[in-house]
Amino acid sequence: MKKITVRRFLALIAACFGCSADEPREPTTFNRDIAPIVFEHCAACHRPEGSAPFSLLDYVDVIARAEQIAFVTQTRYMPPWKPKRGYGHFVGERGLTDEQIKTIQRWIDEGEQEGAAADLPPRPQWETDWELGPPDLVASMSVAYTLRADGPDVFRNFVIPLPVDETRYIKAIEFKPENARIVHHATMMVDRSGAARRKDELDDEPGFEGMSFGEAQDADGHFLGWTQGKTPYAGSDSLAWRLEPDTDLLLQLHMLPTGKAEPIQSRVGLFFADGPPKRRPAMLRLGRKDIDIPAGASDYRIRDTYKLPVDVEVLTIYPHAHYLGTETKAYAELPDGREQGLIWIEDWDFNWQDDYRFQQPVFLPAGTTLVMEYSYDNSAKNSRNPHDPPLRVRYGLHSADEMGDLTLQVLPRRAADLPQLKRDFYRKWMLQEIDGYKMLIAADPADWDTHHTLAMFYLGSGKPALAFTEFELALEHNPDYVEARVNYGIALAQDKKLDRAVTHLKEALRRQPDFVQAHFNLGIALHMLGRGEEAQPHLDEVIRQRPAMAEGIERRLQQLRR
Amino acid sequence: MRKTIPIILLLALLSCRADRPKALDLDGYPVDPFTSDAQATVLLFVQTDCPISNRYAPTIAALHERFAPQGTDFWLVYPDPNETPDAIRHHREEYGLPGQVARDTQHVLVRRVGASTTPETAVLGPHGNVLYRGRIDDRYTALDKARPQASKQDLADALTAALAGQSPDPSVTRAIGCFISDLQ
Repeated sequence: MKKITVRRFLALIAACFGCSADEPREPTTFNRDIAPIVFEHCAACHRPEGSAPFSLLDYVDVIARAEQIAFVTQTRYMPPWKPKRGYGHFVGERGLTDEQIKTIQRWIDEGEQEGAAADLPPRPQWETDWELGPPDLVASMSVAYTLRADGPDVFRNFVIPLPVDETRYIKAIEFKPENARIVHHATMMVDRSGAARRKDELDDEPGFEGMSFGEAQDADGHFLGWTQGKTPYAGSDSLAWRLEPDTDLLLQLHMLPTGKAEPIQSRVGLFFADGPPKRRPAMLRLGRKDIDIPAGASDYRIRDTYKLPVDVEVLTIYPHAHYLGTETKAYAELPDGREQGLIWIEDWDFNWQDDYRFQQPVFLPAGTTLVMEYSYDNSAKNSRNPHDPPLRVRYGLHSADEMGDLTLQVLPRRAADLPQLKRDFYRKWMLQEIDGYKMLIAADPADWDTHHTLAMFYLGSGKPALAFTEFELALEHNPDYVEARVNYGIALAQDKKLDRAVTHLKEALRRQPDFVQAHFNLGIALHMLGRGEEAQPHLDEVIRQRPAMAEGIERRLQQLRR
Repeated sequence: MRKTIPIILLLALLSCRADRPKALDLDGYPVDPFTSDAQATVLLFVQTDCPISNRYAPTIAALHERFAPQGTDFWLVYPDPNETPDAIRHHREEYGLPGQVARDTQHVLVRRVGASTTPETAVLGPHGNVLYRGRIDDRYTALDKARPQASKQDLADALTAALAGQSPDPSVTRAIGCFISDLQ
């Protein structure tokens, strides 16, 4: 039992005077008034196995932090929940009511009394192992990684092989960090290419640094993410994703050093669906890649829009910006002129980014315009600014660069609309990519690889003249770049500029005589010019190197003859 | 022998406790960093489970390595009365925290320098005068806002000034971290 301190004694007297009038009220106690709030809103993370730093499980825990709890609830730092309330309704919303926040303060003002034991609700119980039950497949990082004690945040990618012997469909994935206090958030992508595995093998350390996912992709239009305090999503058979044998999970961890070296070896549990999904969602990524924020700019804004060609339901939404981001807002302009709020984070915090699942899918008819509006502060007043003093910041994947993306997971109302939606969105996406590569070139005009990539995007969006300029620049900066030279040759041939095509393809072969793509395309181009005899040795060389291509060559020549 | 001394001292302590509470070391002996004759004395208020003070452990170790050889006494002050000597021993080992320990279970030191947060620090001059109180550096600007790197090394600057016999400027800054709760 606690001693009655002077402060408490005074508080008790004050409480008695306060309640003497018309509304007799018993003093606020932990057992009756505070424990229900703490058990429901704090203890899921603030417990020994939880992701938060200390436990808030009983009276002693809570009085030791009472003033801090009052402060962080009043400032709404805790429980952590970034989206503006009511502007979109999401699964797992956290937060206290104004009344609950006042109750905590009143309890402190009245002397932090424990109250009657009979008032104390039972302490909640938590799953100690997998929250979704026993998984069908458990996989883990092959070796533990040790996070250094000090320094800035670490973004590191780990390759987790997912051993299945036949195609499986995954309805849910549960991530167990196994050292939850160092992981702020985790994002998982699927790598069917083996590229991440090869990158990981380049050095002895487990995993590799960075925020780029490389060749890895989202899981058939599903977000696989984890943040502190997030309850795993049980998923459904009708929206499962395909897992082929020999696929890796690429796990990107955002980790915060804690002051001592911390080992981590995370695990994932996979839950199989009965069979292939009935429906497939699409990921629509709005955003700007031409972000270019002057040093010191305190209110830099970006905007992007996309008009939906088909009816969709929005399942999940994921705003993304880095440390300069201050506000992220997304809404839909419906065809009838009404505005439908999707998500609004008025005080963007990179550390608390998450994908948010709508409680009810949001129906948006064809003709709706999706709008995203983000703000950035690149002044010295933004304490999260990675640069001191501030520097010009452009689009890029590093955490000191900036991004502005909004990804929506949508399900077309009619499953048959999916290809149309994807085609239409691809055109918009490509323009966005072009903006991004133009920015990269502006930053480094001699980057021949980026000139080549930009050329390919111009070709894909039907702008051959712009593509030719970029091919020329790529070759000017690296004349030995034979892949670019061959692609240039193909593009010229398609544009009926056969003589110039032949020149470049021959030049490619002069620089790399055994380059099979150059032989093939030169052979075809010469045939198109009616110089079959000259073409034959090149096509023979293709077949010598790749006998399997003989049939393809024959088919192509037949097309030409027609 | 080792057992009897603490008991005698404890009795002595109990007898004088009524008039003047003191901070204790990990064996229960009273300690008073204010009586140090070092050119500068640093009090570092920490808690075993405060994530922000823990995150500063490598910074504290680096400051110790730099300033201890120049004649600075380092004290780790644990103001939470619920933290046992064993928990503190474990904490120091786990985070590699250097310096002497003062368990400030009665908040003698907390009150004397006006500390309210962990991590918070106070720099004392050779006569026990408080020269600086506040943050270690400006890495945190709020609980949810941290710079990638600190831009002002307030404690290092205060120590440099104190060792040169000058008054640190500023002499008070606001520390960000876990509140030191009032004694119940």
